Amino acid sequence: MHMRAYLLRKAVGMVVTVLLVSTISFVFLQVIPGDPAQVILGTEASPEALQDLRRQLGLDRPLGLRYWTWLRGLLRGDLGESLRYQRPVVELLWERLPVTLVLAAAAVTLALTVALPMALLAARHAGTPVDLLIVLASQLGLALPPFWIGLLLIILFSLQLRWLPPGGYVLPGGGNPLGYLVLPTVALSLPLGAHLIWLLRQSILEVIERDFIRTARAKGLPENLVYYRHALRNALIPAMTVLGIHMGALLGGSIIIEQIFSLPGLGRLVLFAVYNRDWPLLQGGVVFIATAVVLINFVTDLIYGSLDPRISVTDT
Amino acid sequence: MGRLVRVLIVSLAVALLLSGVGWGKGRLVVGVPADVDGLDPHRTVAAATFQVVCNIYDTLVEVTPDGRLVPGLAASWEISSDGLQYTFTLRPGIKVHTGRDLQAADVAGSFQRILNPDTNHPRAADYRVIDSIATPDVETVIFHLKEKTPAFLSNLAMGWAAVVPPEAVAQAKFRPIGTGPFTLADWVPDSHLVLRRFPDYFRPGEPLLDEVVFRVIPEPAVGIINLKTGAVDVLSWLAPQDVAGVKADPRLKVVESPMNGIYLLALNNARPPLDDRRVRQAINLAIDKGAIVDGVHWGQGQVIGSHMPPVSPFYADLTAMYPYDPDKARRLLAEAGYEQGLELTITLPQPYDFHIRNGEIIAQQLERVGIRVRLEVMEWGNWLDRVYFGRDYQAATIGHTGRLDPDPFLNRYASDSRENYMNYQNPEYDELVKLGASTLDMDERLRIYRRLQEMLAEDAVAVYLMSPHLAVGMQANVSGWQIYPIDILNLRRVCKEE
Repeated sequence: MHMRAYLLRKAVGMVVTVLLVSTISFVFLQVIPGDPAQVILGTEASPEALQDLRRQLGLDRPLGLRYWTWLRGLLRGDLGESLRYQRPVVELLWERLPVTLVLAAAAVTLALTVALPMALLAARHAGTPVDLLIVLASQLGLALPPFWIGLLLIILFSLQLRWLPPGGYVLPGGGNPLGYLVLPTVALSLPLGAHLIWLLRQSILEVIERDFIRTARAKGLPENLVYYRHALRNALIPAMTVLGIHMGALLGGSIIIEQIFSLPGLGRLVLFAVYNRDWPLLQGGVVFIATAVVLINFVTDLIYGSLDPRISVTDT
Repeated sequence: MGRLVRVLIVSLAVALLLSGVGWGKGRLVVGVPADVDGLDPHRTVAAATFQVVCNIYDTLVEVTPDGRLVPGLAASWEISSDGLQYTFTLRPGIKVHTGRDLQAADVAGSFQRILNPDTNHPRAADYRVIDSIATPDVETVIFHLKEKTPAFLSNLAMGWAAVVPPEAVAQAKFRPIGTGPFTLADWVPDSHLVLRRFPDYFRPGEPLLDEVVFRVIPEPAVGIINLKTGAVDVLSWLAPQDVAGVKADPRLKVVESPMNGIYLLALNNARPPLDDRRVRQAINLAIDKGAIVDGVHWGQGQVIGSHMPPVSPFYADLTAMYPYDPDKARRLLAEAGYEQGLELTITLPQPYDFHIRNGEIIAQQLERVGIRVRLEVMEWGNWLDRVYFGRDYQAATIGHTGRLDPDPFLNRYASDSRENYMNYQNPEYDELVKLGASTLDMDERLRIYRRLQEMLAEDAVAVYLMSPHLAVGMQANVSGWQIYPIDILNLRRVCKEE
């Protein structure tokens, strides 16, 4: 019963958030200068051509009406048509989604696979050179900007060693899909992995001082079990928050990584929409990203509960 | 164990195959900085689109790399002595991609589509001079013009005058059907676009390639790595700073040519203190254009003196009018009442790096004569709105792409032109530019356009900085690449020796 009420409240909250975000982005795009027709026609536009195009794009209709039409479409799952591509926004998002999704999943997997053992190793050997090395590496990973790492990776693995293709996306008739994924995944997972190592190590060290760990040890549990079953599980809670935030950002597409590795993902699509004042496309992108972030936050909340029964969903 | 080895060998072989070792002969991969914005030549102004689409569609008339007009779909043409009637005879046996013969009515229909307001052809104005189109037989198209228009023939060679057959109209944006050397095989937006050889192309033996892949690589530094690793055969645009490095690589080569275009510092002639000609002249004298060509463009360009690139046959060399002379600039400023200097805001269009850097160097040079410059970087959509359409600015850096005829290039300075964003007002200029647009005699036209360029320079309407060079990088085994005075990547005669 409690659970159902909670879910309902949460769902309403999510819808309101997405609507608010979409309204704000709509208003912003109207307030900033620049006209889609002008951008499409560039410096050679005749005034008649501009007027005709504005009419064709529906830019001559009042603002409120445009928003209302868009909103009604949204309720039917119709995000309208892109001004520049003249295709349904849903279709455009759908095309770009696999690139972004695969990349995000690969980056999160890689980050977790590296961060969990590294953080445990560092925590268990706190204060030793091993710990110092891992902490140093994670600080470096946090400090180095991913676009720079991306370029370095391309120079090293594509130009010098010739192991991997310098970006791009799977081409018809050529290209091992895995090869194209490796470098952007590494570049994208670096800041997340580094952040996780640093955070996990810290929270394991905190948890390990707690009473229940002392109890576990006093019971005679083997040290490995103490770390894996008790310490890590509790230390994962703050890490989940960080992971959730990063995942939301990853699903929005990483503009810089997509740009450097020439990947046709969501980030570049949204950037294109901004530059071209393609408001239906941008609105669609924003709604999609907002929904993804809200959903991830919700899932994160649920996972908190399963990690730590004291954080019950009914408590909110 | 044996099984494992077999599996490993097979997967390795598959991976090698997939990684492109066995790509078909005659497949050329071209790296381009931007994607097409659709494939309908009548509904775009995007250079990236015309670069690609010229391989799918044809024009009645074509332009050679050195700027001559030669037959395209038309085998020949005749112009009546009063300059009002253009009669084109189509080549025999031109096939549309669907397999049927192209007919005169298709050509007429394509121009009717250009002129139809619902098409929203951005440059329809260039063709409004057409009064009527007649097709007395299947291979003859006659254009009757409302008035003498010497630019008409060259306007037919522009990418946006491509002949789009009626069967393409319904889905021209995604499924182009033309008569060109290639057909569209695949397009994944922002990633790649594939063209395949059209076997029935009307020029026997062409195209030479089986397949062309355009790959979108937005980051110049990554483009260079793609070229150096052989992931692309051609990089359609080299950043000036990369030209020397590509030339130094023995496996690569560079094809380069002066571009039909100019970079300038636009001045708002209606806004004080720039409404004073002496101030504009002082700014011209205070800018060392050579330093901009070398400092921003690594020497990949040529200094100019007016609104015309040196590749144009109408170019007049006016570079001597404003030599770099800061002392004279200061004197002129003092004469105009600005002994104490003045303030100037230059609006720079983002994300066009080179225009931004042009502005940065200009700012430093102007400081030396007492002009305090405020640089304002403005995102392109905003820049267009404020500077170009709103004319709400003092000075701005920008470029203009040249045309084949000087009239569409220079008529923007007519007082009543909507494109006159520099607010130049000169009745004498207005009259002369109108005369140039209707004069058929070539010598007379040369004289007129020379005088127009002189007027712009004398009045220091803008600071005409330079005409850039275009450099294309490619593998040494690619041949037949040519650079045209209009922005197209014509791949008909390009080939790749294996």
